[in-house]
Amino acid sequence: MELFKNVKNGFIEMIFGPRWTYIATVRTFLQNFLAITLADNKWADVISMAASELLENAVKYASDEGTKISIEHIKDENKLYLHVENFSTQENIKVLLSEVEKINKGDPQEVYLMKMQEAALRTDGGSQLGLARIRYESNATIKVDIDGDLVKVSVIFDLK
Amino acid sequence: MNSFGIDNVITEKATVELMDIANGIKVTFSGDIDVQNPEPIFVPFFEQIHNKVIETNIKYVELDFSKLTFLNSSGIKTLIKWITKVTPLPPDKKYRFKIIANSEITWQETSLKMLSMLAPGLIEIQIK
Repeated sequence: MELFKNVKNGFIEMIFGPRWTYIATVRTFLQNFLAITLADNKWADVISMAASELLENAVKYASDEGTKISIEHIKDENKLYLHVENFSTQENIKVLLSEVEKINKGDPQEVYLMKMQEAALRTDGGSQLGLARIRYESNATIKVDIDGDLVKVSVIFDLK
Repeated sequence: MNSFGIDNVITEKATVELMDIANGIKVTFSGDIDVQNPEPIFVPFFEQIHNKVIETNIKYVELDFSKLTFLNSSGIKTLIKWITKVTPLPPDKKYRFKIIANSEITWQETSLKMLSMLAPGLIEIQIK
């Protein structure tokens, strides 16, 4: 039972779908769980919203079965890492990389406002607001790692 | 029912109700808006309201989100589409929004504040 002793950092991992119906369940679980573990309702709300937006993207743009969400709370750094992994097409990956570059480059509020103005003109059902919203609402850092058709989007929250 | 004769929107997890108030109309959101594509549900509803507001020369629309626990970014987009319909209208056709947000629901303060930046001068925010 050594695994359960000396636990330094919190860690959650879930693998499912991708299915839209799981998203609300995961969001609600994270919100409740993080509100207790972080003892901070505001961060629990923000992180669960970010998880929900990333999972929506994972489901919308998945090319194959399998979505993994993991959360790691590094207590010494007071940082929380949220990762969502899924498979996607090279075409979608290219769009994602370009979006993340734009979002990370600018001021979070200005980028979000620009994305909102663009969203008003979109007619394809997508909003492309999720990542800009996460960055604006949390001031978190967004990172993308690609391994073939496997996409890993990481959001790093500075809880200080 | 409201004097516009527009039916409320009731989905599995959310309700959006339209009602008459003394100085205009009020739209009350409750539940969670987290469907994959909310546009076919909400865009026609908001368009009907927008058209009736112009037709009847109403100048005040209250959007009460205080009972809405979650709104995904696709849902935000439907509100953006409504608000950006008002900004290009001639001054005599324009109407004002008042957004009511709940301070205990974290995303409301941040996300709803941003909506007011889309239409400066047309949107007032009250955080309860």
